[in-house]
Amino acid sequence: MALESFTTIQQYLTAIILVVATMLWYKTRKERDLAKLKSQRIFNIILLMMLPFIIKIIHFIPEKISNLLQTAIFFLIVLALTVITIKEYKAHLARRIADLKELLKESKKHPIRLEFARHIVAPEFMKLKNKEEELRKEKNTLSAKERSLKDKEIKLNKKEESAQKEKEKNKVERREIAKIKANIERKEEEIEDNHSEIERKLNKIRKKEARLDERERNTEKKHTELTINFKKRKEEQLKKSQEEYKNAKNTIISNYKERTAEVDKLEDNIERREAEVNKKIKSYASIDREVEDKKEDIADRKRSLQKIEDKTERHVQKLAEIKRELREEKKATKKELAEERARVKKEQRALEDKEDDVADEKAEIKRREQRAEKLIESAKKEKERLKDKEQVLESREDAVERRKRNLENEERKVTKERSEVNKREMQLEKKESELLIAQSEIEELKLEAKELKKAEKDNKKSGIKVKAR
Amino acid sequence: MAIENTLLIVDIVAVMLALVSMVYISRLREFEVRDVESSLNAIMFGVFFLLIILIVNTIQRLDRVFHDKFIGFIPEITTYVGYLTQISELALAPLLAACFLIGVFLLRENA
Repeated sequence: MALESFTTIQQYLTAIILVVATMLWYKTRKERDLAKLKSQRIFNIILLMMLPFIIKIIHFIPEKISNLLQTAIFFLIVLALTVITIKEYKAHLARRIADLKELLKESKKHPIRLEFARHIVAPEFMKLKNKEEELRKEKNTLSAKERSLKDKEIKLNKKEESAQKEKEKNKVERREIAKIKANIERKEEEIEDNHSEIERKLNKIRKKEARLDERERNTEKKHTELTINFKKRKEEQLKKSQEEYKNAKNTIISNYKERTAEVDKLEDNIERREAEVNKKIKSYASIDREVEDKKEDIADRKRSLQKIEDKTERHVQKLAEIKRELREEKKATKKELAEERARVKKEQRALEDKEDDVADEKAEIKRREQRAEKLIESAKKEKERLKDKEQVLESREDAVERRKRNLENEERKVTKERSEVNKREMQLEKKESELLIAQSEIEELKLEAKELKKAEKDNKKSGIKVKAR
Repeated sequence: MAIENTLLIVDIVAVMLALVSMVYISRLREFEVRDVESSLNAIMFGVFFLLIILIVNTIQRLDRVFHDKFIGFIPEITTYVGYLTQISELALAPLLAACFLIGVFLLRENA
């Protein structure tokens, strides 16, 4: 509210000042001779600026129309001002050029000519000479800078050449490394081929071992089968012979028992049968011999198996020896490979060190550039942050100021309301007091009326008494 | 809306013309007498304030015409423009008037 009133006051003030200025201008134009003033028109137009400010303070004009009028008048005044200033400037310039041309003409001896030459041309000439000297100095400094730049360029070219040489050297070394790598790869391939052949041989040996193991297993199986069969047969034969023996014995015994009685009779038969028994015993002995022969055959077979086992053991030993030899060869080749790899690695490390040195130099240059860029960026960012913070602070300050204004306005409103309330309270109190006074007056009147009634009654009573008397 | 657009164009042209006129007034000082030069300087200051007032009016008009576009970049543009107009009404317009008055006074004194 205060701000609005202040703005209206300021608008009125501007309009009044401008009106005063125009009045003064026209007064001076009338009173004094302003022939020496060449920009009278400009003053005339500029002082027309009071019109839009006067329109602004006239409130009965609608806002839209007043805005439109203001912009139009501003535009027209500014347009007129520019046109007149340009025209005036051109006219004055033409006049000045004509005067100068007159001065420069040799035929016309102007009285100011020499003075003009002394005071105006000579200092200008000196200024031009000074400028020429400055330009020469600048040229010299520029030539010196160019020389230093050329020297720097030469140095840079030398550095580039040395860098190119180093690059070429690196390329040659890289080619050598590539060759060494190719040789190593070939050797590795050869070793791998040898390794594959060894593996093939080992596979063959393993297959042979497997076959031998199978044969051993087969022979063991056969041996076990034969032993089992032999035992079975032997047992069967023994059982059969025992049974036969038992049967024969039983039959003989039975016959002996049966024929004990007929011992005498059959002594001849007994002798015969004893001979038969002896023969059978002999046959049993021959069977025993056959069993022994068969045992001997089994022992022979066992020996032959042992021989085969010995042979297989020898083969296995030979295979183990071959394996050891192969392992030793492998170890030797591995050692050679490790040595070659170590050499190659050393050479590679040396090359990498050289490359790293070059790369470090490049990286340092890049790092410095990046640091400089980062510093510039960080400075920019900090500036932006500060600007943002300033903006935030300004916005906060504005918000605080707004709140303060609102609070002040509210406080003013509250104080006004309080004053109004106090006034109303006072008025109410006054009314209450008036009412109380009126009530008291009414009560007094009532009392007076009662007293009057009483007095009337008393008067009436006294009147009746008087009449009665 | 069309009126607003034309008014905006008029305002922009007025700003340009005020700038040009300021330049030519400064050039015209060369042809004036030294006694009048101070008053012309005061008038030039006044024209400078006029230029600022015209720029503020143009910004206000731009906010009216392209409010939806500007509010994306500056959310509180209306408040800022309000502040600018208040500054131009409270300070710049009286300064412009004072400059013109001083210019006339100086001319009156020196003429």
